[in-house]
Amino acid sequence: MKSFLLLLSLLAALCTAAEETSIYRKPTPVAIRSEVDRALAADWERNGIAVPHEASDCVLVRRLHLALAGRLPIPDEARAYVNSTAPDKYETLIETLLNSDNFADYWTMLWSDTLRIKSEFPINLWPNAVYGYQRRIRRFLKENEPYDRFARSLLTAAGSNFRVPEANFYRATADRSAQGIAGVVALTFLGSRFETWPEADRKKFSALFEPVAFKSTKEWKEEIVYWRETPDISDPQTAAAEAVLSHPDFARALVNRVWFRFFGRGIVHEADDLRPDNLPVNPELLELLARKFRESGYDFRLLCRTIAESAACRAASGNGDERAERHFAAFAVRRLPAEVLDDAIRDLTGVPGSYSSVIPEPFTFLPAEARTVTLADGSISSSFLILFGRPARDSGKLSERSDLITDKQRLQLFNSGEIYRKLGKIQQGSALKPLPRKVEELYWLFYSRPPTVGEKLTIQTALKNTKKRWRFPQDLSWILLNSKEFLHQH
Amino acid sequence: MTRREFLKTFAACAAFGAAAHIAGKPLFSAAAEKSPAKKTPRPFAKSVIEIWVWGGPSQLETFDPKPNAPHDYNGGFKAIPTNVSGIEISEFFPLLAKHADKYSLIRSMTHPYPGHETATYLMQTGRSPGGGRVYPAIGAVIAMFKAREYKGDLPPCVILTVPKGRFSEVGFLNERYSPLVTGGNPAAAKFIVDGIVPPGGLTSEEIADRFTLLDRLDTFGRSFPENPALKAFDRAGIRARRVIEGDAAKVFDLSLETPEMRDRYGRTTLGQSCLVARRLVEAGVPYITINAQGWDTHKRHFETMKTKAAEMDRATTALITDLHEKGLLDSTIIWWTGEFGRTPKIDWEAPWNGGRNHYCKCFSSLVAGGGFAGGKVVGTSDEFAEKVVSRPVAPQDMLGSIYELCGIDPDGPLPNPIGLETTVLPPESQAGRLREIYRERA
Repeated sequence: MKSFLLLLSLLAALCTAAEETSIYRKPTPVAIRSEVDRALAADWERNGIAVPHEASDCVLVRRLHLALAGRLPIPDEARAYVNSTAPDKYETLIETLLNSDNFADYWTMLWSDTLRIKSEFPINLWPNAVYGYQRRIRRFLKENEPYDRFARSLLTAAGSNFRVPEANFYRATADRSAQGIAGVVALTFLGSRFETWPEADRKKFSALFEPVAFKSTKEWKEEIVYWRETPDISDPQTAAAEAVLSHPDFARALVNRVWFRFFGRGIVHEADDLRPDNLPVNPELLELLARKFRESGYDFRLLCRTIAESAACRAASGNGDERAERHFAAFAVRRLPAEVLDDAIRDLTGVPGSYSSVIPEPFTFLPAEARTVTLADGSISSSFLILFGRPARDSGKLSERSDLITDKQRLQLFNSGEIYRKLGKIQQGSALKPLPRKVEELYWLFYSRPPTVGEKLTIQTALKNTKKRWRFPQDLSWILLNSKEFLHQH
Repeated sequence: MTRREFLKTFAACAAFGAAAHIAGKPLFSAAAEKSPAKKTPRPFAKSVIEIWVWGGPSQLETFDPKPNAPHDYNGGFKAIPTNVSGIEISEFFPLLAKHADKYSLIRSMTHPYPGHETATYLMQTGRSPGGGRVYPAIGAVIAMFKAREYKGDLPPCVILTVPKGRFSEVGFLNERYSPLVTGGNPAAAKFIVDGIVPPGGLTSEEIADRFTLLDRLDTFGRSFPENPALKAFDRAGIRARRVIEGDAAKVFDLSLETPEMRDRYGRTTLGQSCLVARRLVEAGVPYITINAQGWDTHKRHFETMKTKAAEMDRATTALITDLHEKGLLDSTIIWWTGEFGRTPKIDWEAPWNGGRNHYCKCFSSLVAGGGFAGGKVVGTSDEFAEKVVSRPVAPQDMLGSIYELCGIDPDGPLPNPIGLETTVLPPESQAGRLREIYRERA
């Protein structure tokens, strides 16, 4: 009898284990269907890495929303995707997300990191210019302006920081010497660290930006970028832009950076440290993406779609195989970015964040409905955003954004008054629903999936033992909020 | 001793102490410099309490009074004697005047930046603003260097109660060395430290139940048991739980102090912050900042000083004497400074109505404990406290002195995750670090 019971519980455990695995991945290997996939698969084979499982629908719907739109799917969106039987639902979802305002907002934020958009020290763009410049970047993304044209508009810019948004590109440099500007251009458009260049190349490249000059006006905090006349170059603006756009790393740097945004590491890593002795992990893949990008007329959205559709983006999450992750045969599990987490907590609880800034003058107050992802100014922040590694936008380097987990972050989510206050609202919002429905709904809210049988059982047992049944939705929300599954993109 | 002479002597000592230097203990003491063979080095300061007088305190109404200057400079306020003959401070600080033997004054602080953010950056990092890189503030640097010897559960760098908010204090260092910002108000009935002291409503059993259920429902963690990111997440969680469920949070519970002790510091946010700082020192926390706000007195300067100086006088005096009585002052540096001082000439016109503006050319700081001698004055200013007359002290000299007394070589490498080859500080100024007030070992 005893052994029978033991067998039974063992069987139950096995079932649960099987169920637990199946909620994160499909039993089948990831399908190889495009040129990009074949470049990935060839690399896996060369390196003796097994073809990964495909991630489950629940995982993919969450992953795509986070990567493309910088937010979690709402339960209805997630359920609709998971329940859909359309064979092209994955591609359709990508297309929908790419065309959404969320895509433009989220990628504007990421671009603003690279372009160092902040009003104060050490960049000192000043508030008016910050907003003009940020809207210009958003237009590039919203209208899917060809990337080469966008880059050219920044590189050839001249005029007032308040009237010509692109002129802020050259202003957003803490070091405004020709070398300083050249270093920023190299990092931004060629994805490389100027200090790693040979001395002669540095000199030649810096000379292109020698004519860039600045002057102030009588308008408070207005500044004009202009190009000094030089005897050697007839059209210095075009010369500078051509030198950058014709550089072989121009397309490579961009695709590598975008790839990094999806997977937390570049094909060349660090993703903004391209140099001859920092080899790509999969050269064919990098060349293929760069070539396709050029041939498409620098179509940024198409590049995002290509990456989102790739086998790398459909692969199941990694379980500690560093090599598989390095070759993109396992999706790297990373903590949610600060702004995305802040927005997620606000969406889940319905309590908006509040942003005001009295440091950059004129003072700035943002409406309660503004999402954190749309914060234009790197100088406007909160202790939450700082704690969770929002980049300071001082250097434009990708490494400025931190996805490290610290004790202080966990303390904040475990135990802060702000989190307690916000979670209190969840309970009020769902007061009318019966408890099992509430549990189901909370799982979709936080995880974009239904609870497993095992999870439901655990919750039922806990419910039996609790003396404060009325508070259970709040307790469960606290648990889900502090869980690995919620706090990571996976 | 000039800088050159000092370096020469130091070079001789350095050869002698090369082994210690290589072992990562780069420092020497003022005593060792005189007879290197006999003396053991002074033990290094364990903690630093920075009283950051946000906005810029007036040098005239603090530690460099000018009773003989015209009324347009001193506003009619006087100097009072201290318990050290020859040292006078402003009449706004009567309590502190009784303990001048325990601290030293620097009356010749000087730098070129009259704006809050640039001056703060310079005073905190020792670096001139610009150049496109944001260096870490001293608190983050000391937190990093002391991380190995510090075994406490609380983060190694704490700021009471709000951040300075002018720049990223951790700079390019790892986020774990950024300050824990307490929030809350230690002078309130309950000092709620965000994330550490639970906001209430839950018993400790209920909190424990939540943690248990959090573990049981960790389906994701069980599915990816070998994932290093998730393992790191667990480790951080264990440390965080230790803070919540262990004794660490008690450091913020001021009900454990006697009412008399609380009164001694003053029942103000500043006073009680100083009391919490003393408790943090007892807990071994290496760097504590008290962000004392409200000193940017462009308008109605003297009216503000009457209340601000009184609470500052009480709090600072209590902190210094309390640490002294507990035998902790020798191992704790107290550093009192603003980002700059204030214009000596008073602006009587409306809308200022007797205000003082930003002034960076000449201002005062106070240091006590942790290897700094007491009862000394460094540098002098002119009759108006407008210009440094002797012994100018640059921010990097002040910071360098604190680093040296903490056992950190200011000229040594600053390890960092971005692979930047740099030193802890830029080279000291011509006048050099404050070695003349390093306490000699008895």
